[in-house]
Amino acid sequence: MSSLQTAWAALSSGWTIAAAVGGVVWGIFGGALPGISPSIAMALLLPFTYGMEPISAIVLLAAVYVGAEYGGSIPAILIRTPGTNSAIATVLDGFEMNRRGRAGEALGISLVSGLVGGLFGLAVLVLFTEPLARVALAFTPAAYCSLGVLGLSVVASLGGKSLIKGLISAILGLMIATVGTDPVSGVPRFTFDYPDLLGGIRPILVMVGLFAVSELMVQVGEPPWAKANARDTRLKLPGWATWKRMAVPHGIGAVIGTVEGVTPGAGGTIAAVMSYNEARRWSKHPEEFGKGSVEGIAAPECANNVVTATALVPLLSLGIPGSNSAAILLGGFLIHGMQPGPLLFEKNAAVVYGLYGGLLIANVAMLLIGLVILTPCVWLVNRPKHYLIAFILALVATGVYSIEQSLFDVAIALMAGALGYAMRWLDIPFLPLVLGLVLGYLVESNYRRALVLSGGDHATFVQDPVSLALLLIAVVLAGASLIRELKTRAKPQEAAR
Amino acid sequence: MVRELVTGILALALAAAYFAAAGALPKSLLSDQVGADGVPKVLAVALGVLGAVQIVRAVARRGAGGTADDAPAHHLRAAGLLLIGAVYAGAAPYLGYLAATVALLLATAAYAAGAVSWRMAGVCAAGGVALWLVFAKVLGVSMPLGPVERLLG
Repeated sequence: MSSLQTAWAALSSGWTIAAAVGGVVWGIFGGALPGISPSIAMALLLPFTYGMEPISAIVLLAAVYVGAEYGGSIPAILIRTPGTNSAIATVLDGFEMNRRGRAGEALGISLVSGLVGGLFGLAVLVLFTEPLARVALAFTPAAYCSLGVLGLSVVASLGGKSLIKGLISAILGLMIATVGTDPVSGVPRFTFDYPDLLGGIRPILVMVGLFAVSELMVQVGEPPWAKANARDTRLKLPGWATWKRMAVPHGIGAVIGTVEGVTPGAGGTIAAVMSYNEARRWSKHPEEFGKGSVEGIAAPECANNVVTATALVPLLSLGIPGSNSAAILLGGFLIHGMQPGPLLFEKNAAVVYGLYGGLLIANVAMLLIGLVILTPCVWLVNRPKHYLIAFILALVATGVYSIEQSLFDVAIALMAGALGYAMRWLDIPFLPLVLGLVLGYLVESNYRRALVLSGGDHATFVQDPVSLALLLIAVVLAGASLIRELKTRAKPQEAAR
Repeated sequence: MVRELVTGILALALAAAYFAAAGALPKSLLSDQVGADGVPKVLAVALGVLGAVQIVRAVARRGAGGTADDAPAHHLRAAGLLLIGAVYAGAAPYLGYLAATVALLLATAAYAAGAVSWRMAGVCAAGGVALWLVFAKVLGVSMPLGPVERLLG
């Protein structure tokens, strides 16, 4: 079956459509709740995808990501609190429009800009992912091991403020991945005589704990967020004059969203903020920015929705998730026994093309659902926060238990939550840990396989040209990151003198 | 500064413990030349080096100021939520899913709000029943059975 036929089959499948629509609804609700990022909204659903068809499960998770980016703009516009990190730039002009009685217009601009961004990002995803994966098909075990090292170094270098903390996080992930039975000798490692640990620690438990449980631990000590005004909940789609004003900021958002999306560790927040700044620089009315500018909403909302698709390019082609949400999606693939990377197109092409089709449905569904979901969203945002914390914790516990009917798994997720809370406090990024966890097996098994093939000679990693190139890139990126960090730290000290 | 130093010390301590645990792994005749302990030991050494560098940097920057530490009360509240979850995991096999979930909802809501009311109890009871109906009855997940489930058949 050709790729187009597979995508069309996904488009016409009732389950895929239901997953896309359901994912968008869940994503909008999740994104609308301050503190619930797209990755947390996805992590909460992850346990429930176990029993689903692979295509439906992956489309569901990807659709949550799409919906959450729009959902995040709702509290940003209505209560000056970004529902997601990437909606931070939307607050500036969105809330100003709301103050001037134009909340419906701001929400409409956010919605259509998200649609434009999502569709553009999808086109980039379809065009670039498969060619990149074909290049990676020529990799030897040594090159695969080096690819894993490169992925870890890229995310550790770009994902946080400190290279050392990024690397510590990546090593923690690799350490967790070593728990369980050694794949070569069958020796149990770090299981402490718990039979439940013989099969290793499932990445899904760590992801749910890190993202969802740790967020609840933070939120329980935070004051309640503001209430939204229910009178402002009539969405107004932009007219022709507004569309013309949005053309340039959409172009800016599309370009920046593409670059930031395919760069591991960058993500939607940086894309949104950069797009806002560039839109102001290129605008004919820069004085309107910060006072309710149309461009000030269109550019960041377009950019962060471009990222929802382009962040999947390195995930699907190389197996390297570039953002927290892509890492959760990777968890969805692993649950169903699929390993994203070069071989995904060979072994599970139907799922990839189904995902493309599902993303198209999700983006169109977002426009339709966005028109009617505002009132229930405002109702949800206005619920007392303590009920939301309680119900989300119960949902986490139930979802994690449901995977294997194991309360031991619930305990593991809680421990991962404690780890996540400590990492937040210590300002250690999550993404390198998740990447180390999911790449741990790939890195170790290919490292050992390469050594078996070379008779134990470590030179194989630099004799293989692809492996050497990947390792060199990893070293250059880490070095550049270190220099940048040292320069950044030197500046405030000079200023202090 | 405190957080930077704590990060380094924790990394170093974890590296030492992990290296010791890796060294205690049993040897197998089936093993390759790397062995089950090979990669873990490399990771422990790498983490130890990073931890040491982090400590040196934190000490070197001790005069550069830094952000004020959070109030310990915030950490205690977070730990309290974790404790509620741990009690749930321990009690669910005895109480059953329905009663344990209602208790979890009520304890968490009361803890987060700092107060308890009859209305809250009602909302949490209704929520627990709704979750039980969805997961145990509609989705057919085999949930821990307790006195309430046995009574309901």
